[in-house]
Amino acid sequence: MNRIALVGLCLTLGLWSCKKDPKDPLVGGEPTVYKPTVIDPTSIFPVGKFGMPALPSDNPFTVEGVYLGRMLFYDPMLSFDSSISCGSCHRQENAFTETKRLSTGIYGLQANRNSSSLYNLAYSKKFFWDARQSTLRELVFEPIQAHNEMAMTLPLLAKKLGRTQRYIEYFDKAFGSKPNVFDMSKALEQFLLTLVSNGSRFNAFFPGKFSLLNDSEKRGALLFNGLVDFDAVTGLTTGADCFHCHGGGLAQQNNPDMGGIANNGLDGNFPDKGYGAITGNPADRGLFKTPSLLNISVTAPYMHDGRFATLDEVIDHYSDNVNYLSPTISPMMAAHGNRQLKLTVQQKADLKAFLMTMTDTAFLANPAYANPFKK
Amino acid sequence: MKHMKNWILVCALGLLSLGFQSCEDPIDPPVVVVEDKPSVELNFSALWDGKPLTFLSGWFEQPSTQKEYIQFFNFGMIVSKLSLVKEDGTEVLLGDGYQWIDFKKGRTQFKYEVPVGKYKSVKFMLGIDSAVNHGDPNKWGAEHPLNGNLTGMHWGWAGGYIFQAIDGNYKDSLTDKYTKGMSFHTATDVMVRSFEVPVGGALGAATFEVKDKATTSVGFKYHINRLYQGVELKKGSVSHSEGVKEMALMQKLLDNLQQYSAFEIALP
Repeated sequence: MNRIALVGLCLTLGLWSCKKDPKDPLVGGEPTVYKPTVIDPTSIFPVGKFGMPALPSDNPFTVEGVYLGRMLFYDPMLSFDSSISCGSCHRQENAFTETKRLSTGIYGLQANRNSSSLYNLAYSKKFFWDARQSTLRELVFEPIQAHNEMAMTLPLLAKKLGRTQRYIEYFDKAFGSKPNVFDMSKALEQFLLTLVSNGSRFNAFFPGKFSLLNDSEKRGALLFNGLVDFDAVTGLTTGADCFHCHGGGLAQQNNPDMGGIANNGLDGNFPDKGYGAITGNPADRGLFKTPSLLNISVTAPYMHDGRFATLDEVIDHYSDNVNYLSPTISPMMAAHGNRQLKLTVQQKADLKAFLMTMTDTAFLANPAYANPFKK
Repeated sequence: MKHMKNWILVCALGLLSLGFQSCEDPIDPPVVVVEDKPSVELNFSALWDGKPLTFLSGWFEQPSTQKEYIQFFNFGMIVSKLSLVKEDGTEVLLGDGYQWIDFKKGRTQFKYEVPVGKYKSVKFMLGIDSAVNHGDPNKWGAEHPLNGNLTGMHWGWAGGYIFQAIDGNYKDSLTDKYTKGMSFHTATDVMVRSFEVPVGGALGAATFEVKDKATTSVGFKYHINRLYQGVELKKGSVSHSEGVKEMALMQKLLDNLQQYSAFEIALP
């Protein structure tokens, strides 16, 4: 049986070696010497935007490392049957998420959750919807190996990379090494960390330049950043209190205990336990990482399971349909006296208008993040 | 088969490496002190009726008019001008004076290099001065206590920093099936409070000594049950320091800190 298995494996490897690699514009240069060009992090994280994040000290940005990571991100070779890449489910035009409710892996297999958007990752300390990973270099191994995503094994991946000329060349340039999965994860980490979105109108407004907003957006900003306070006469709230969990220029709370990982009242019981499945603590059931709202106009569908197809449905949820009886609901949501906000049609429209200012069109079309195999 | 063994080895090394990486602490220690320098180590602890505060487990009884039961979710503070006061009244700023204390995360132990001598109290502001409060939060380093992305204790353009965040749930009865939210966020310039906590309690008769080439441990106890003195959550379980009613509730909470001596310095 073992001999048969070995023959099968050899045949599989043989088939891979016959598979044509994507168009390769990078091969054929001069012989390389390991002397990477270090990138100043302030050119990636400019002063006056979100501040300098804590970066991995053992993986400085280099031109070669970032480019290698970018190639790997878009290379279908990383999947078992060379059919999908990271970029298949994380599409730049959608802020590196995709429009499907649940992502599709190789052989049409379905992933368990909605694909997370990818930007400003340098400011996060927890990754995935259930916040199970703490570093990007660890993160990248998961979708590559998940049976219903890319279904690759690391030894086979190392072998595929090792016989591909552009990777022989670029691993040498970036790390002075032969292709291997550890430096692969560091290259992907470098590339992912460079995905910075800070160019939206919201980010220009953020210090409080109301002159940059139209009237509806201004009203939306006040709702977004206002505390819930019901008028005794009209019963209307003057604030929707979005900012506690989606505050700051990142439109995201990164402290897990301050709303960074929370139950936002979607369900009364939890078919997907989220963070609770990671910690094993019943108090964490139904908690998920709070996403940034930057670029939210292009990241539909929404929530960990992609249950809301439109932004209107999301606003309706927070306005009218929060399940306050959910046993682990965020204290900050339950602190509203378990009362639905019942925003008016106008308030909802204003809130949506403000959310639309968070779209960073330059980020969505930045050629530095684009698929290098497409010319 | 030899290749197979190599693959298994690579996998094993990979898993081992991942194991090491997952042990990384995401929060850097705030201050590093050279071992042989005179230093003080402040150890903050949150207590309810003398017992350590727990998070997301257990219910703490609040002896208001009708009993209420509290479960804590989060408890953090931003302090500034954190200093020690010498016997002669000289103040020694600890680091740059800013600190982020997070009781849930266990970010409660801070070591500072200080001059040798006898010290009679700990001084600090709960909150920060107006200029910094409304300054650019992005100018602080990645691990600085005032980096809002690190602490989550910043409200963006709307209101500056949160000086103290206490979040959780409460019940009127332990048999209640459902909980109600509790959220006290101290913020805005008018809520800044200064404290001087004497060693040895209100009498202020004691001191602690910092000797050369040694570290003196000092316990800073926060008796959080005293913050809740006379507060009925059913009448108000939320204050984010804005609006007439919520401001009054926050003032009451902050007054309690002083009035009921919620802070205590404990010596080893």
